[in-house]
Formats: sequence, structure tokens, C-alpha cells
Amino acid sequence: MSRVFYSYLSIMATSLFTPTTVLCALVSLNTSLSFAANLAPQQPNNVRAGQMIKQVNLFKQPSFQSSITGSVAAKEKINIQTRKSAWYFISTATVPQTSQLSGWVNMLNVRFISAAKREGNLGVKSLFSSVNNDSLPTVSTGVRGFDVNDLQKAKADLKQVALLNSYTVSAGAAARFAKQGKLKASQIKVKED
Amino acid sequence: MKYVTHLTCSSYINNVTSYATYLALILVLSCSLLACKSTGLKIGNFELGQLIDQGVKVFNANSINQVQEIQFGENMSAVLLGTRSLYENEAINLYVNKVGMWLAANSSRPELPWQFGVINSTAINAFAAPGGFVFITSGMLMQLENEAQLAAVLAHEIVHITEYHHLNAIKDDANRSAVTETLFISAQAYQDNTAASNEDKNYRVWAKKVTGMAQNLYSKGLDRDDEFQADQYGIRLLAKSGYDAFAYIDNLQVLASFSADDSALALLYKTHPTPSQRLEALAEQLDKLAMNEGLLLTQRFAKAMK
Repeated sequence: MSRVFYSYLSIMATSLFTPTTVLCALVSLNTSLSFAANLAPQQPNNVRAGQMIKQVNLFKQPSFQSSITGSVAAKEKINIQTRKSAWYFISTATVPQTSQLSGWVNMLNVRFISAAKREGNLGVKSLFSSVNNDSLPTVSTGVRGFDVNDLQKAKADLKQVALLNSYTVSAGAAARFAKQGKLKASQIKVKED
Repeated sequence: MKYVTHLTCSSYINNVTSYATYLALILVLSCSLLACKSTGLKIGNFELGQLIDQGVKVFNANSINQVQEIQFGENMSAVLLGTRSLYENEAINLYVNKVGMWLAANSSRPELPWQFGVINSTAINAFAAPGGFVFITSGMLMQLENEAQLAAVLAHEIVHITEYHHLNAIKDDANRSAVTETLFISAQAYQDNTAASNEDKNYRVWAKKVTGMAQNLYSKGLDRDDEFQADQYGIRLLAKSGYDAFAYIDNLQVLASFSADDSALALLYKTHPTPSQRLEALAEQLDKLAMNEGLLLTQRFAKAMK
């Protein structure tokens, strides 16, 4: 930050800019510098904070047949990096970083630490992202939730049923949609009981 | 009549008894004063709007046929959509219908006239009604990250329908006394078949019966065992349709991480076992599922939500 302060003084000395614009420019410069510092080692997208439900072994590969590289205790705080099939790749959230362990655990042994639910409007993300850089909208204009009381006050709305009917797609369209996404129907294998 | 907007004139009269033909003739005559008043109400390939004598008799819930089941579901959907309207974004509704139809095609009842809708509400929830009606709230859709998670929510609701869970619920003692034929006919058929001079009053009788049952079912929820079964079969339907089946677990873990006293989840928690209980029950099922190399389709989902 001291480097930023000296830069601020030197730019101000030239007196070409107002104090506010210079400060803004430096803050954004500083943010991008610290962001660059965070890039190594690169963080995978969507790391989620979690906690172990019980004590389990860490595996080298997402399989019980692979070798065990350590173990994590019940209630231990972890970061969930990625998922493959029923396995999460996790690292322990211990300090210092050098004492952190990582490996694969079965996903059912983990719970996510309380997350804030997302709010906003669907289908207007592009509108929001055109005015700021946030990919998720933060303004909520959605209709509020509904509970038992709302249900008790409800009246049958057949116009809405007709609107629902207008959104129907054919089985053929759904099959084409699946093909576009490379989804393949299969008889799933269920291990013998 | 004014409430029904998707009527079609059809050749329904061909295959009914002479008594019904007589009734229909009266209807046709009364049509001459109004617009064409047909009983050929259709959903998909199913002819609805049957003529039923009074619509007030105690109904035998064990003898409900498929057409009655669909009509019951449409009536329940009308009440649900009377609580909160559809999210009026055609692209998002069509996308949800495509995902839903693909799952339904792989379900045990592909022949039903499946319809999927996004309900405009910040509540985090999803609903089903008999005969192929499935709803997800925009609040729930907001929490999802990929198409497989959306398919997980829809698969759970589809199983409630394929396994007749709502019909099981109305056979319960608490609901049985409220089960009348009224629940299984359309508002149109009810009006047509009761005193025409008193239409509004009769519509109100129909609406009261239908809303009472729908309110009861959606407020109290289904049998807990049926909820666990919907999870068990749902995760298999997800895998069978080519999706990453473990997105189902992922989705429940996300729900489990939200504060339990969040009002957006109040109705979901009132009517379902907690996500933690559901995860515990699914653990056994998960062991039985072979390694599944299904897809998440994260990009397609993100694009559809924009």
C-alpha cells in the first residue's frame, strides 16, 4: 500500500488530475495487482467452503481402491475444489498452508457451510451485466415467496393453465434437444443388492 | 366458459350413450346463444371434460382412470397458479419443458401429457400435480448451477406423478371425505352439467371443492415415504436420461446449506423431510449406482438463464 501512496503523491505532484480521479485509478490498479497475485496458484472456479461430517480417509484417486494419503477429522473445515462422480476433491482449511492436506473423499461425508442464497431475476442477467461487471444480478424484483396462508387464499386460475399449456414441447423436440446436448438415454447399471 | 380458453370443438358426441347425446343436444342449443360450447376439452391426446351427473358424490379413489387423473391434476395446477403466476419468460419456460420432456420420455409413463412451468416466486420449491403437471419456482431455479441440477429437481417431481403419490394421499383418511367427483371434472364440464341458470354459483361450488383439496395437499405435503421414494427413483431417472446422477446429491447439499429458518424454504421444509435426512436416505442408493459418466451441461444452462 505504501507503493500506492507514493504513486499517489507523485501523480498528484504533476497536478494534471483531481485527487478523486487519481485515487480511483490507483484503487483499481491496486485491486488488479492483488488479483494478479492471487492467480498463482490458480484457484479453480466455484470452490465451496465445507465441513466434514465424520472422520474419513483421503484417497489419491476418486475410488476406494486407490491409495490412502491421510485422514480428515469430523467437523474439520475444508474447501471443496471439484467433483468427479460421487467424490469431492478437498483440501483442509488449516493454517499455515503448508500443513494443509488434500485428497478425494466420498461426497456424502461432506456438508457445505451455510451459503447465502442467490436473489434476483432470471432472464435479465444480460441487462444487468451490460451496466456492471457482476455476472449475477443483486437487485431483487421477483414476486415474494408463498406459504400456507397464500395457498389458503388461492383461487383456481384457468387462464394460467392455458398459458402453461402454450409452453408445452413435443417428445420429438425434447429428443432433438437431448441430442444437441449429447445426452444419451441408457439402462442404468444398478449393482446387485 | 369465460374461464376456459383452450377448448376445441371435437367429435366427442360420436361415442357416448343416447342419454349423453340428449344432454349434448341441449348444450348445442344453448351454444346458439353464446359461443360454441363444447365438452371436447383436450390436454395432449386426452379428451377431458366428461359429463358427470352431479359431481358431489363421494368418489372411490381406487377407481380413478387416467383421464380423471389428468383432470384432477389440471384442477390442482389451476389452484397452484392461482397462488403465484407463471414466470412470463417464454424462452425459460420452453427450456424447462425440454429438459422435463426428455426426463418424462425416459420415465415409466411417457404417454402422459407432460407440462412444465416456472412459477414466479422467491420461494425455493417445486411441485407436481397428477397426470403430468410439474412446476419449479424461479427462486429454486436461481440456486441451480447446471442442467443436471434442474433435471434433478424435475425428476423428483416426475416420480411423484409416475408413482401416483397424490392419489395415494387422497386415499388417506384425512382427505377421503373431501374426495368427490367434482375434483375430476373440469370447471367447464361442471358448469355445463349443473343448472345453467345458476352458472356462477355452481362454478363457485366447483372451485371451492377443487381449491380445498389442492390447498390441503400442497399445505400438508405427501407421505414422507413417498418423498424418499421420489429421491430414490429420481436419482435413477436422472442417470437413465444421461445426466450426471450425483448432481442430485449436489443439489440437496446446496439446499442443506441454506439457513433452515429462511422463509423462502418454509413450505419446502414443512412438506418434505430435511435435506440432511434425504441425503442420509440416499446414501444407500448411491452405493448401488454404478459409476455414472453422465453430463452436467453447465454452459447450456447458463445460456438458457440469460
